[in-house]
Amino acid sequence: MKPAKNIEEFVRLEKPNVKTGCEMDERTLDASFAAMDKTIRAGKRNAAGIILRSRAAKLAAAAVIIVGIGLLMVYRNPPEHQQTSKIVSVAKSPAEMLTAMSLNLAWRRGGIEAIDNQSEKAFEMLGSQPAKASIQELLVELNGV
Amino acid sequence: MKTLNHKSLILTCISVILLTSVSPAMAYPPDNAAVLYYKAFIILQEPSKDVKKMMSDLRGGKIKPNDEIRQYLQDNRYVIEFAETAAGVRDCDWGYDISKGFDVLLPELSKIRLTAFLLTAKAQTLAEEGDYKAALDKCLTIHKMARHVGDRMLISYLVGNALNALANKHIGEILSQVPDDIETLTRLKNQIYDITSRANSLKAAMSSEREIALQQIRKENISTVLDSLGDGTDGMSKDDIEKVRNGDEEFFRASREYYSNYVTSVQLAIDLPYPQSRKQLEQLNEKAKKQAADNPAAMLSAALWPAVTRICTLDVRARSHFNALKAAIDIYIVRAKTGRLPDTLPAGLPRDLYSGKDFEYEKTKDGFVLSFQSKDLDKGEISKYEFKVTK
Repeated sequence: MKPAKNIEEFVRLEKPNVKTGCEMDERTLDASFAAMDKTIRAGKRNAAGIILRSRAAKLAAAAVIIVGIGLLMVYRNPPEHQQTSKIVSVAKSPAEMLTAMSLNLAWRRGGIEAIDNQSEKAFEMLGSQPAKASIQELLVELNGV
Repeated sequence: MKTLNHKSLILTCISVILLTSVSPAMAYPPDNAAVLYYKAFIILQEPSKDVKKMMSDLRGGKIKPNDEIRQYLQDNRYVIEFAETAAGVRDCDWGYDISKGFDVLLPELSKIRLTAFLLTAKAQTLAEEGDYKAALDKCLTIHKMARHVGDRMLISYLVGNALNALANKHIGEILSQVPDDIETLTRLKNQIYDITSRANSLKAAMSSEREIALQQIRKENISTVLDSLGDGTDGMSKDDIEKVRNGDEEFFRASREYYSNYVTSVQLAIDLPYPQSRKQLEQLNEKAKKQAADNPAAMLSAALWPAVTRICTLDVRARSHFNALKAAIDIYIVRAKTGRLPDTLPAGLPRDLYSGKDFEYEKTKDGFVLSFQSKDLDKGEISKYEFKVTK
């Protein structure tokens, strides 16, 4: 396996163990800049040209890019054990919002006002309003008119 | 002998005729208050946003009763009537299906709160019109409704507790307007003592909750409990939840035992004087949380009982508020009899339950203040109740 591929494989296999964060990013960048400075200081001609032409420098640049991508992936998609353990709450039906457990949890969140708010929401969803049935309306219904 | 038998037969016949002649249709009110409450809830009109705001402002003492509020009360007069009749019935069975455990539906809790808001608005309107006796009766109805809400579930107990607080607040405000009237005050005093002698009990609610929980902490029911808990499983990691979900019979047996012992310890702690009780409950809570990290059997107790110190403080607060009201009524009676407020607190009055001592009594320009002698540790301050007197 070529060195660049070695690094790629290392990032792919070991990424859950890489501790990401500002410190790691800084260390990676510092090391890169230190290597560049050293090359520039030692160089007689155009340092950038030397860096780009040198096989070792090409590998280092590739490694920095790959490590950077790897870190980004690890940072943006943390392993499962680092994710928050909270269960995502699913949308509840009005009846489910009025169970003992649901009202209990509302009380824990915000006391009696939270119970009032949750219940109000549930009844709003139910659209429960008193039926206004006049005798006339009932007669019409019963006569099927 | 023959004559005696004949007379007995006639008497029996008359009794049977009398008993059967009372048609069930005339047996009103029914012996279950819930029937009447449900009727009230069916016809209860939700207030519009504006009226809801006005009702809230009225409860908060920001506004006086206005035409919109009076119209809303008029529209709901039958609700008030049903609620008052229901409150006068001794028993109330809401028809809970306790076999559903924590999934039992409690839609009546919200409706009973709305009905209580109607009653406080009605009480304030009546007080404004000078009908203090009727106004106080409306508040007493709320207390009776609170008893009907019951203590079969912890959440019912807490809602009942909130209703008591609402009624007591308004009784205090109405008392401040009542002219010296020994009869009304004595009647109120007797009613308040009667209400507190039959009040819901936190311990009973805890025992009831324990019975329900012990049925739920079982392999066949645990998925439903965890799903119901949803975000309420704070403190439990995803791994913990999986552990509970996949627990074996032994895990659930140990969890039930831990839960039961935990509730027993809490019930013992709430019998202690408030500061010790509060301290012990905090320790129990912390212990359960810590043990949950190492002892899987403790995890469910920690998740199902996270607010025990708050619940117990609310209980002490509610009972102390009742005591403050009782003490205040006695002071009002002294004033009604003597024409002036006493210089010191009369002896033998109910005590402040935070400290176990007498209330601190202070006469003010407008009336008097009763203060607790210890802090409410949830609020972090010493509460006091202000009562005004008519000039």
